Amino acid sequence: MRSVKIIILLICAALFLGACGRSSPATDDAEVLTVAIGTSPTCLDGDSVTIQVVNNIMSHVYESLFEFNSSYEAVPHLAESYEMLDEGRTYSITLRQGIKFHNGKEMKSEDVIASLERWLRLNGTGQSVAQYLDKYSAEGDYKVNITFVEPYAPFLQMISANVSNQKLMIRPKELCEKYSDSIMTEHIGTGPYRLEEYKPDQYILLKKYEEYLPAPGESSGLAGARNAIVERLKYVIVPELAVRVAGVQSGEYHFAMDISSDQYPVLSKDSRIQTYITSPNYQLLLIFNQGGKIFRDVKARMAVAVGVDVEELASLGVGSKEFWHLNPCLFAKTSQWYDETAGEGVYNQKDLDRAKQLLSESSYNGSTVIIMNQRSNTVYVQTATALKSQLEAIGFNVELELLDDATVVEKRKNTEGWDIIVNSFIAPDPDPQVYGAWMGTNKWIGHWDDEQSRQMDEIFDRMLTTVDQSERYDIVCEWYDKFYETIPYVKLVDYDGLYISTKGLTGYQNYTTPFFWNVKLD
Amino acid sequence: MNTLKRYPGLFICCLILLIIITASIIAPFVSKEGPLATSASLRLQPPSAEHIFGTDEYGRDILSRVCYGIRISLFIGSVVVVVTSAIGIITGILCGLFDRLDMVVSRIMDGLMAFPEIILAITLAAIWGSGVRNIIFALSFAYFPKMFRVVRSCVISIKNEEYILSGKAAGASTLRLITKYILPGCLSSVIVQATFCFASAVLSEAALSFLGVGIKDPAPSLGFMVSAGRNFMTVAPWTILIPGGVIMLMVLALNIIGDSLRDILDPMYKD
Repeated sequence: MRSVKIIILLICAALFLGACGRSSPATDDAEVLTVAIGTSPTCLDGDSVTIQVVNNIMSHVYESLFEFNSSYEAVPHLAESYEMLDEGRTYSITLRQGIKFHNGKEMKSEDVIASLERWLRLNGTGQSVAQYLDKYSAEGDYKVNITFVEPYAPFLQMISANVSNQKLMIRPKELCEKYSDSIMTEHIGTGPYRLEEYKPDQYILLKKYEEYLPAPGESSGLAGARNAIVERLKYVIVPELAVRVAGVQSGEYHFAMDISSDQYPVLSKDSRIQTYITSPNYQLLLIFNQGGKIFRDVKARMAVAVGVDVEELASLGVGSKEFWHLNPCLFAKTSQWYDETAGEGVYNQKDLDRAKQLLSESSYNGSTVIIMNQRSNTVYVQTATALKSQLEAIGFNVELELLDDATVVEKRKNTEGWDIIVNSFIAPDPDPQVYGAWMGTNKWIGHWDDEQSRQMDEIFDRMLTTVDQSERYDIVCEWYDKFYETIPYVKLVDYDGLYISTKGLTGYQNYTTPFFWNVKLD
Repeated sequence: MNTLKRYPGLFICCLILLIIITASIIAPFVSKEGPLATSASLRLQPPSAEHIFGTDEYGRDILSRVCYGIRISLFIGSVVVVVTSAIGIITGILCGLFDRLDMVVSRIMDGLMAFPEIILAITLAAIWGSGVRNIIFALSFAYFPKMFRVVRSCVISIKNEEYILSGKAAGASTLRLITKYILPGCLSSVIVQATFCFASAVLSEAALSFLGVGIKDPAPSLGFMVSAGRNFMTVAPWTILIPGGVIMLMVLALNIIGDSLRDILDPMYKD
């Protein structure tokens, strides 16, 4: 009997010790900076998706020829220098030498050309740039020449844009050829981190790349020296806002994104947490499905534009008034592209009578307007919920569908099944030309294809080739007028981003697209 | 009176249920704005004289939403009980009486009961879509096998009783036997199972709405209110505690009533 008791005790002890052990191998937790994100990427191929979080993550793996500094100026990064030739038609870009991809291969001009080709073919911004391209070629191993039909002023901004995966990411030629038009599932870049593991809907794990060659110059925004100090970065998908916050408070996560501004009064007083406000960080928009039956009619879109109460939508959607700003213009007041007359007579009119009149004149026949949004984004959900009652007040029949991220991305490719999506663009944008990738005939998700979309295309064409700044500004103002005449989207507000981290995170540089090189974990 | 003394919990829970039912009846009168009116300036207000349960993230009155939410929960619970009882009783009696039918149907029910009811309900709700009608169908489908089992067991235990056999021998038709003897004999078990079914249906509806496959916002639903309130736990805990507390009280009251009824209606207790 006594021996039986001893055996049982030993078994219990063994089980206890086993339970205390690690269930997974590997990483010392102190070397892993864990970032909690709310949106799960559908893939990590930036040329195939426009989800912003993919850009944020893969900016650690990939780099571009030029990157934005803290003032959103495009600065040479993988490029050493460039010069403009042929009266501004040709960009002759000299590459830095000795830069190794994560597979050990040195980056050369053939890789830039292959990456450019894929970007022009698949990427939305690349496709809009391709229309103006004449030719491109490699000149030796460390120079590429890109020639446009006409002078193309915003080229550097376009290939550097850190929004919605517009950036031209440089990949090995072999990888571009292997995946061609298919979604890339291997990721080999030149960045300070390489992709170690990707578990869809769970996490993305990046590991420090030991042979990384930082760009010269001090770190400024995305440009300059990138030093990978933390051994690993782990982006964990945490759709629940409360869990992201609690995770940082408990120390399980070191950084969390997409925090609701309603949390700020409590979090700013929490001694365990650092808060970061990026102002402005986003532009909140209502995107119409103009391929659908209801909103292909501009009067229906205008009814929404003049009828909604933008302030109420912002209060209910974003939260505290300190975190959002009324702005009918697509650029901030401090920007050279700001126009104070933009949106006059349309923006935030709260004119229900006029809205109802417009709706009655439109082709709307009482069918159900579907507002479709991802459940994971609190701002979108709250704005969409508030929008429903406002649209019903105008006279629409409305249904709200809150779905998972992947389903929303799939469904919005169709012209049926949805009518409005609440979405946001990263702000600020570097140049008005950037919007050319989203606004115009069959651009992005709007399925816009009519006479007005072609007029919009024509404005962007002229904007592109106009070099004189004053003339360009006039065209930009003309673009604002056309925007408010055709209402491809309803601009709501500019709103700020709130991120939080543990006190132990140091060296973080607050930016509209968070990055984690040069940071330390204490 | 003796029953109430013996089961004070039953009395308290009946009182709680009565209060909850009263709240659902007076729902249109508790707030002049109603459950759907939003107000940006009243977002996340704590409980006050003007808004007894405070307001939610859209400035909507939580008391009004809770009262209307109780209505929806009680309605769904009641209809699910009626549907599951009807289907469960009919199939249970038939299978209890006819062995060949029982051989087939019981195996099917065993298969259905192998799934946790909530998982079955979630799957069906996801396939059929959200909305009150689909939720009722999904929950009824998930819960009726239990009622079937209870009734079938009752029928099997009763059908060989002497009074049933005497009735058969006297020439009573099957229908007469069912309506006059078998059904009344199963009634106490059905009532007890119905209360548990009611509680489970209320909880499951809340769970389905919590998960996003039940009643959709802005329609008031206690489960959805708990779900949405998670984002404001630290800044406005009333948005989650109050609807969660109401769900807890309803389900607890129903379960205790069911437990008490089972004890009261148990033949051994009567003796």
